[in-house]
Amino acid sequence: MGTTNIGVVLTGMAPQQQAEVAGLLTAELKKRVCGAVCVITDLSTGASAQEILQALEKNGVIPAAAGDEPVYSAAEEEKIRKRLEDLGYL
Amino acid sequence: MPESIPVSQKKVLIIGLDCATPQLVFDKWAAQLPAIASLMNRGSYGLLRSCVPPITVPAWSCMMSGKSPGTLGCYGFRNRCDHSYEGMAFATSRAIKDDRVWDILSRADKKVILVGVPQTYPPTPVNGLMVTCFLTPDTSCQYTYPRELAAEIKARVGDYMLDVDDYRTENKEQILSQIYEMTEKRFSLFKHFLQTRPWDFAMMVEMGIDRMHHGFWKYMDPEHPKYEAGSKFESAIFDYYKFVDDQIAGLLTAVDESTAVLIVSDHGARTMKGGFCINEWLMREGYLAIAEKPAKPLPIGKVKMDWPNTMAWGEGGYYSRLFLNVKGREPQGSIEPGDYERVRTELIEKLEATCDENGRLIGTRVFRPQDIYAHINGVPPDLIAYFGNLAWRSIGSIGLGVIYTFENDMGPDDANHAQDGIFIMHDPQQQTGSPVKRDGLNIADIAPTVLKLLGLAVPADMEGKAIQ
Repeated sequence: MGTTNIGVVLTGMAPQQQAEVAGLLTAELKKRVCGAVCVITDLSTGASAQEILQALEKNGVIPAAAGDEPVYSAAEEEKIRKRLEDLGYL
Repeated sequence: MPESIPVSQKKVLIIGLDCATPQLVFDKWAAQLPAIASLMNRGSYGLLRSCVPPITVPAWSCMMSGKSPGTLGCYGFRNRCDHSYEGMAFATSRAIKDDRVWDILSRADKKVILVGVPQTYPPTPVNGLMVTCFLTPDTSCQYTYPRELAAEIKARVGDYMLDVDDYRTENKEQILSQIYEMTEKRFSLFKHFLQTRPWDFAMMVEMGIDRMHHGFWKYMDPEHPKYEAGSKFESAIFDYYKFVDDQIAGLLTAVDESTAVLIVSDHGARTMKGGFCINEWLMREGYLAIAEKPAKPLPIGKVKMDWPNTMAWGEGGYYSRLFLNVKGREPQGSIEPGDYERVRTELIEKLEATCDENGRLIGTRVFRPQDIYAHINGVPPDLIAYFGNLAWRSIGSIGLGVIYTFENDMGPDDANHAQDGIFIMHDPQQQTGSPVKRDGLNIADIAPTVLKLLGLAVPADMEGKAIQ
């Protein structure tokens, strides 16, 4: 992925909801993409921030989020621990 | 002086050499490393003060974020997740919440190439490509960004080597062979990317020098307690530095006058005199108690501890992190919160007064995180100790029955880390004519220096300063 410029237009929401969704989207998109993120809130759709993010993921516009799942499986963690011990770091 | 290049066309190349040490690069072998010397002679160089602790993780992330371990909340390869006794997590890329240079450059639409930079696994999206580091379990994991890059790597260099396997062996020939193969593949791959991709910032980190120091120092250094005069490995480290210099010469053929080249290391190296058994010492001094004596030396995590009667425990490694067992903070804390500073100060005084097996002061230094970091995030250690100012490593095992040991609990190891690494910069736009030696350089200065070279603003929260 090169630089990604994303514009999301939010429509059909109450102003407070629009601002909330825009804030969530902007924060989440900044974590996942390299490039400009532009969330426009003065127009209008009704989807939640989560629905919009899922749609962007599904269409390959943004990578999937790094979830809360552990980086390593138990076997991988043991492998890394052993490697770092062998290398003298632990 | 070459024609002036607009800053928009300028590039920065960083060749990171983990553990490359100034007394060898600048003093002992400068004249015999022509590629490195050519950059020094036309640019500037100096000692690069590492962070505390001067360890690969967190040092490279400090360098590339311009921030201290305290700000990053990353104090070593493993960090406490909470104040439980077991909650330790490896410091992967996800542990770093602050921007590193490539995050800033990617957002600014600069193209980046990253190969082997520690703490980049799991890979994160960048405006360019990333090959992760030795914290990657193996190459069956996603170790590249984008994912499909792995196929190109396989086609180009075969099985890419993240690190050497089975490092704690006495089969030195095997280690040497692996280190050379790893290094040759990494440089070859990096050069391939430099030649086939558009880029503004490219950085690789080679781990081989660190592995050579730890594995072969005793053959080279007459000051080492186990020095073996006339060993066939006596010149192994020098030969390898020459090999790396040749590889650097090859890389330099792939850059032009628009490119500022930096060679940096995250810390230096020094001879290792032995190991200081921190938990054995704490036991002897009455700060640590065990419920059951292990039949053989075990890591502290596998020992049945008497936590209510334990005030402090320590971790092993090239330095030690000490943790205090505080009531209301740790599950079975024993130190009243009001006594915390008194105990901490007492430990500092006692540790700094430790002597070697012959009763001579060894020059141990102990740091309070609050004294050395401007900010403290995450769960810091209560104390950070350099035994013998890093001449002695920390042994965390319990059951050895001694305070000093001359074998690492994990096997042979010849060298420890030293606080100062190297900095060399050659910017064709700032020819110096003769080498300029710089003083007062800090590892956190590299990130702002890169941004400045590329014409970008330095974020106000970076703690380093751009090297002019």
